[in-house]
This record gives sequence, C-alpha cells and structure tokens, in this order.
Amino acid sequence: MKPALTRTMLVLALLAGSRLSATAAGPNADQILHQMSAKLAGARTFTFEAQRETDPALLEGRDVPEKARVSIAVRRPNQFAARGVSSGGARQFIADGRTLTIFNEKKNHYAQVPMRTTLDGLADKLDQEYGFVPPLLEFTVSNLYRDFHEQARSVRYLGTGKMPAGFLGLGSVECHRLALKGPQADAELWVATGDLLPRKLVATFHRAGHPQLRIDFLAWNLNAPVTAAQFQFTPPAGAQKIEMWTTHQMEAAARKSAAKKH
Amino acid sequence: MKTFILLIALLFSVAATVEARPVYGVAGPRRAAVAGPDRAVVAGPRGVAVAGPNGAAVARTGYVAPLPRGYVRVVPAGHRTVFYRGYSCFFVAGIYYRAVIYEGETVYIVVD
Repeated sequence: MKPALTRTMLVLALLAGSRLSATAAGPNADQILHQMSAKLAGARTFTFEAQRETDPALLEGRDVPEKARVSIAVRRPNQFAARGVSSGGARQFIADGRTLTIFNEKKNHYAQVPMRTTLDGLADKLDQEYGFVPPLLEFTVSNLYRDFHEQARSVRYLGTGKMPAGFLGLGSVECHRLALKGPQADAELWVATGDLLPRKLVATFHRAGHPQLRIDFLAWNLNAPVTAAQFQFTPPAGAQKIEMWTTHQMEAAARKSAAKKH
Repeated sequence: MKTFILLIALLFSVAATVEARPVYGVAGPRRAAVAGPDRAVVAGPRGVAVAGPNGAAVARTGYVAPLPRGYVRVVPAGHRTVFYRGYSCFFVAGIYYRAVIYEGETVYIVVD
C-alpha cells in the first residue's frame, strides 16, 4: 500500500473514531443548561405560559394534585406578573419593583406589601419573610444556571425526546433531556434543541411517596410587547384589601394561641 | 466522642434545615415541625405547627406550616358576613374570622 493512501486511511479512521466517541458521550449537558440560562437572562421582556401539576404531598391541606395554568410576564430587572388559574379560582401576583400585590379573583380581595427589589431579590425576600415564592418565579431569575446548580449536584445528558404539540403532533418539538440529581429532588429537564428554551420539568422529591412537580412550558415569547401597565394593579370594584402575614406574624399568633391554652 | 459526633451531626442538620431554599419552587423542609414540650404548639425554625383537633400532632404531608389553633383555610359553612372590630369578618358558631394572605394563600384567622 502506498504511504499516501495509508496516511489518508489513518486520518479517516481517526476522524471516524473521534466522531464515534463524541456521539457516545452525547452533547454537554452542563453547556446546554448554561445556554438555556444565558438565553433567558438575555431577554429583557418576555412572556411564557405553563401547565403546572403538583402532587398533594408537596402542598398543605390538599389530598388531590393541584393543576394550574400559569401565565407569566416579565420586564427585567424588577417587574413580574403571574396569573394562575386552578380549580380553586384565579390568583394574580404582581411585582412592579416597589410593591407586591396578590389578588384573589374569586374572593375579590387583595393584599399589598412593599417590595422594592429585583426579581432575584423578590424570590429571596418573599421566601424568607413570607414563606412562599410566586409560581414559576424561579424561571425568571438572572442566573438560572446558578440556581439549578444550587438544587442539583450533577447534570447528565440522557438523550433527546419529542414534546408532542400541534395537530396530530405535527408541531412536536425535539428536546435535549437533562437529568439533574440533587439532595432534595431529582429532576428531568427538557430543553428544546432549536431555541434552547425549557419545555418540560419533572421533579421527583426525596420524600415519602416520591411526590412530583410537573411543569409543561407551553408558549415562550422572548420578544413580547410587555408594557408597564401589565405590572400595575387597579383594584376591581368592591375588592377588599386584606393583610399579608409574614411567617413571624404567624409564629407569634401560634405562641399566643399556646399561651391561652395554659 | 460520641456526644461530640452527635452534636456536630445535629448542628449540620439544623443548619441544613434553616438554610434550605425552595427546590423548583417547592418549599423545603426548613418549616418542618419540631415537637414542643406539651406536644401542642410547635414552632420550627421559621414556621409553626399546632396540635390537631384530637390533640395529636398534626400529620404533615407537606412542609408548609400548618395554621395556629382555630385558624382555618376554609370558613365553616353557615357563616354570615359582618363588620367586627374594624374588619369585614365571617361569623359562625360564635367565632369571628377574617381573611389574610399567608404563604401566598388566603387563610382565615380568629378575631379576638
């Protein structure tokens, strides 16, 4: 065999080998997570919708899963509006950078508290003082990659899958499937191969019965015409203003309740 | 030595309990109940739990704090709306309840 031909065959063999090893290893899961985070962080105003289903073991006082359809509008750095509709009615969470409003449409009452902070600060402040985080706010923080890594110790590539969508599945979206393993929950995150936006998250918690949280992201619009008016709350006619209690207030009430017992 | 190891383990568990953040938007175990001396009212690091109607500790299915004694998530049937002590209240069975938002949900507290 001529030396030139041998060299060519050797190069081809090496190329084939490297291609095979790349296929076997799969795409870099961490890089996909990073790209997804960067894409969302780069969107100044955006909207999305999601269907969220939460097993009762993750909720207080429920014995059936809670299914909610949530619509979100975001205007960075500090404006957030969510409307969640479930069997219990519709609720709105509106943060305009100065005030947080929660409005219960069915009961026609609302609460407002000062909340002068960014979206990142909003999640932390609400969690620390009021013991909750509005639905899907965690997907609007400026560094989703860091947040995911706080919840997951490892990220692994599982392969691809198709999210069914459209008539007869004609609009199905091909997604990367990432496995996130964490101390409190393991999750599978689906990220579209085309636009690198999250399409599905299924988190299984390490608690009795392995309860799950399932989120299907239905519509992303990173160029949404979001206006300031979407973050302004005007109470409807007859709406009653009520208080929003902190966890400390509820603790104090519990102590008072205990003292009365004795 | 055993005591020291136990103490370290306890410190780590307490730290983990206090600092746990919501995971994928779901509250962590930091508000887990801690048994009080009388098994009635118990306060976790940042949450509270109370005895159930039968006096036993409230069974915790999730990790969100239960409400103090008498406070409810749904006002008992048969209530009527009244104005009492400056609040719009629901009155039923001799008890006045008023709505507040707690942990993002509407709950009803007793007006003393």
